[in-house]
Amino acid sequence: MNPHPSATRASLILRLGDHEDVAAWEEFTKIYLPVIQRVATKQGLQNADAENLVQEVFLAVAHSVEDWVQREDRGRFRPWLIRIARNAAVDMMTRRATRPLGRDGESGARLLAELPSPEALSQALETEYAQQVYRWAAAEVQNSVEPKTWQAFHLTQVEHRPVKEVAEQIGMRPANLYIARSRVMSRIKALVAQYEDYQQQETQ
Amino acid sequence: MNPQTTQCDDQALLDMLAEHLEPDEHERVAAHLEACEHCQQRLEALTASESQWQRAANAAKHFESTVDGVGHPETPEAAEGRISWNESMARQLLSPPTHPEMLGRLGRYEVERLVGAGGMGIVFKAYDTELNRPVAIKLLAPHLSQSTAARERFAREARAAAAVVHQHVVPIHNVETERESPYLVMQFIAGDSLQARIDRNGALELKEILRIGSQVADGLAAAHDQGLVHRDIKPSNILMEEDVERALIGDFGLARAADDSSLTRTGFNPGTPQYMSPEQAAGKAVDFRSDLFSLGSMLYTMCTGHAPFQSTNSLSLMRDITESQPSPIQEVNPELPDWLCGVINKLMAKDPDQRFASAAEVHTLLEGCLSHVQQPQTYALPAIPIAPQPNTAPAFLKSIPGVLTMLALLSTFTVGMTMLFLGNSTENKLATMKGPDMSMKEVPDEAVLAKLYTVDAGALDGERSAAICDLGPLRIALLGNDINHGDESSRMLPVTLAGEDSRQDKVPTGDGRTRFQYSYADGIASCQLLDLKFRASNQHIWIGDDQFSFDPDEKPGRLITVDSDTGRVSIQDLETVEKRVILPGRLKDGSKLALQVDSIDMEQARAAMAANAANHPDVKNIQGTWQVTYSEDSGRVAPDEMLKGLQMIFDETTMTMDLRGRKNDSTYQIDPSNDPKTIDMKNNGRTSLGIYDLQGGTLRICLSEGSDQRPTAFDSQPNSANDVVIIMKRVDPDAQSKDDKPDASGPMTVQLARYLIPKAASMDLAAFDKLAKAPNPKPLANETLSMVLLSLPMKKDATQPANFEPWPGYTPHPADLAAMMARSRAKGFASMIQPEDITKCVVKANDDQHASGQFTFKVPQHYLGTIDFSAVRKNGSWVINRFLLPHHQVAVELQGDGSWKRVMQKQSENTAK
Repeated sequence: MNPHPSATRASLILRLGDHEDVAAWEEFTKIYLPVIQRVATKQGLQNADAENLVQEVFLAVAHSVEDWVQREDRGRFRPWLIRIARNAAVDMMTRRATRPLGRDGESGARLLAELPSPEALSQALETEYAQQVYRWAAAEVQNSVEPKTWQAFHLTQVEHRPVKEVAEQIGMRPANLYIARSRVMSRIKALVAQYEDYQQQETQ
Repeated sequence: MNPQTTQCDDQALLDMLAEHLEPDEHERVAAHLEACEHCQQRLEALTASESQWQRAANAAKHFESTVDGVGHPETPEAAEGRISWNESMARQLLSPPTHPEMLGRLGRYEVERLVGAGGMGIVFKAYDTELNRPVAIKLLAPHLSQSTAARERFAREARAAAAVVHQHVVPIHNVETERESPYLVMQFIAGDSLQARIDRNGALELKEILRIGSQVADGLAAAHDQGLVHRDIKPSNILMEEDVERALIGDFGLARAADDSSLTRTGFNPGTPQYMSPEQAAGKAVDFRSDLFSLGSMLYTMCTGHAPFQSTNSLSLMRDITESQPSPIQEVNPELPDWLCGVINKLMAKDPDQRFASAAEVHTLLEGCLSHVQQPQTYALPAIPIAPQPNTAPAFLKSIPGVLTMLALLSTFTVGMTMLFLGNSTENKLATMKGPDMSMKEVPDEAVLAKLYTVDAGALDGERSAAICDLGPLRIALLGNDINHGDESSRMLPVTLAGEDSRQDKVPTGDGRTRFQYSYADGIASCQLLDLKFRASNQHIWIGDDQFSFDPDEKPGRLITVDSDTGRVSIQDLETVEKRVILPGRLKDGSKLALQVDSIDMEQARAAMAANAANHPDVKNIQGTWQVTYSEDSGRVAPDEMLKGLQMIFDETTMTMDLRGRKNDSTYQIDPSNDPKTIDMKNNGRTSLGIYDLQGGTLRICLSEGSDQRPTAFDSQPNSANDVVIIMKRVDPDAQSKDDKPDASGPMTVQLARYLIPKAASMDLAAFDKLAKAPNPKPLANETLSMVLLSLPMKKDATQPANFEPWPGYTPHPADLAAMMARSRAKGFASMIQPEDITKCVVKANDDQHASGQFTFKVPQHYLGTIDFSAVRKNGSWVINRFLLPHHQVAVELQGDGSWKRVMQKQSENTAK
């Protein structure tokens, strides 16, 4: 699944500078694409425009990430990403005045006027990011464990059904069900931790 | 083994989690864990913090679709059913309540109130005292529960239904069969039924119809996968969750119990069968296709606000269902697009074989339509399979109203009969195009302005221009034609579409022919645009006998496109006026009045077509023996060893498959007048729809497998997963003995080249995967052109990859790739160049053994470019052996082992010479 299981996420952003590192780019898009898209939609962009924005952001990242990585004063990655996203959004809104942007025919100009500050965006993006890392991890785990193991987790933790009932339904003894769902949780935790490690390193 | 004897031990738990324990040790700890609540909690805490568990659960909830629930709707059959339940009657079925404000008790459930009752049973809202949640309980009606067979069936079906876990199916928590009256416990959905919504608001709007329809089809697909047929799909069984745009199918599998013949003998009537399928009404065996019919009836109801068949008497209702057609949807709701009516007609085909192949197909189709309606510029309307017209002879000619009658085509064009493709890129451009600004000082009140102009080929598909007539809210486009040049003032004409006086007028061309003319009398204008004749009133347009309605005040209007070369006709909605964009349209010199549509005589047209088809050289040429050289079934490629012994023998009507002496006959029928050419095969009563291509000694066939949607191209999306592709070489009866190799005779032609290119240029997913894992690929076996494009050295300084607007010489950038991979609107990263992306192909030079040429391809929004190629003749067949990408100075060559290798251009020049 993960082409570089040994690599920590710390290097992910650094690896983006190498445009031929398809694996890094793939993982980067897996995490950040939904994040940017969701933040954009929440700010009132239509899906198609949000998709375009994502494109522009990724392209901009591809263009400048190498320079950014080499800068001494680069700071954290996500604030930089937000600046890029915000600039791209402004760009889109001004460039495409002919076609109304936004849902319900809201005009691009109005969206532009209401464009939130980088700080406000930062909050939204951090929230989405934290959620997305968990979603990504959960999806990775779901794809890598036996369906039953996943069900043990899902039916009891997400659907809050009693262990006994679930154990009977999926044909697993209760003790193994406890273990199975804990394994799912540990794996999710471990994947998420790779990102948290990175966050710590990054802030240093 | 006594758990009490074991100590609580965190380390043991951790070891168990890490799988460090020996089996007997594991058994000991497991037994302890099962009994010790403390350890269960410890394990949870040792694994992760509470907030981590919570966040993981939330994340999982996000992509897994089981949302914990809420309420259940009123079932309106309560009102219409024969048994009218009230609470005091219902109380008889329950144990006394523990709380006075409750109605009663059923096992561990406190019943709060009666929410509905139908033929099958009674629905309560109740409270699960153990799990502290509201539930809906459906109790099998007492008159049914007396029959042991019915009870058993109820239990069986309910358990099967409980196994369907899907976001659009109401979850069943529990099935209780011990009691005298069995019952089942479902998630309580807060919200009302689709029926209630229709009762309240009447017909729904298009997006709602598509959304609900696609969700219900999705839920049905999940059930059908498990072999379950719902049998009672109707608006009152669809629950609309409050605040969330989610429809859920309720009452899965329950209608079955009511079907038991012993029950009907007791005089039980399962309710008004308005949504029954014809086969159900006729008492025949039903399968999943019965649900598709009911789904169609339900969509009809959403469109019109009433059920398609409305007789109050059950018997006449059943007769209507089996025999008559409901009145056209557009009579009630003329705004709805033709294609939706087409989909519903197909779902409601009397013959189950004529409906869609699966609920999943309907789901995908409706979802595609919804995307299109929401974002017409991004998503093309999916191909709508044509709806059948039962009992009336030439089914295909009448089925999609209006459109096909235009096929009255004379021998000058061939016709796409069986599939109607809407929304290809050219038509979308025409639909979103802003016409030139033309105005006239005085336009009579009852008249609309006909604007005549030509759109350049360059603004469309690059090859053909279009002659346009904007007539009020209509836009009629003759693709492959243009309006003759004339002076400015005569480019427009007020056309009377309503009024009392008869009038006539025309716009002549420079050479004395007519661009546009009309005569108006008795409320109808008879018009002629170039050679296309039609009639129009202020609400309708007729082409031949078929009628399209439009509202002159209603935006956005309709686009009718006629392809002058193929005769393909399509209709779609125009983009709203505000959103139209300017394409470089202008008037052009020169005339091309190729279209020869005259008055329309269907009989004559059909006869002409049949005659054409029968005389086509393919009819003879396909006959003979063919050696299969390539076969791909749902993406799996058959090994060569197997193919060696596989031949197909075509005679006039039969195709015999011969696999080392084992033979299997199918009947076949080809229609070379279609584009692409179509072939239908019938084997054991099953018909497969396909397309074929016959070039010299090569025959290609692509058949749809398990679907009645004809493939659109040899490597088409989204069908390809289900398609069977077979490539065959003609076996020369004389040469057969001395040489196994087939013979491809004749020189390299453009057609042959076009056919060879996609084969070399498409890439499978596995190959892409390899590329993704190895950013600098070594020459892989079977490395294909797409891969080569992807693995080109990426230019860091590519200056403007931002908009994906096609421009020549565009260099793909890794970030583009990353974005494309994840992008929903991308055509699919694994198949960037499809046969249909090749816009131009020229064979520049050829002799007997060598040929070279150039093709231009355009993958919308991704790549545009030209590629040179050369081909050689090997063992009598043409093979493309080299591609040269001029912008990149890179060439790829076919190696002896069948793989492709990238070589520098110079080197390649040398080897090519």
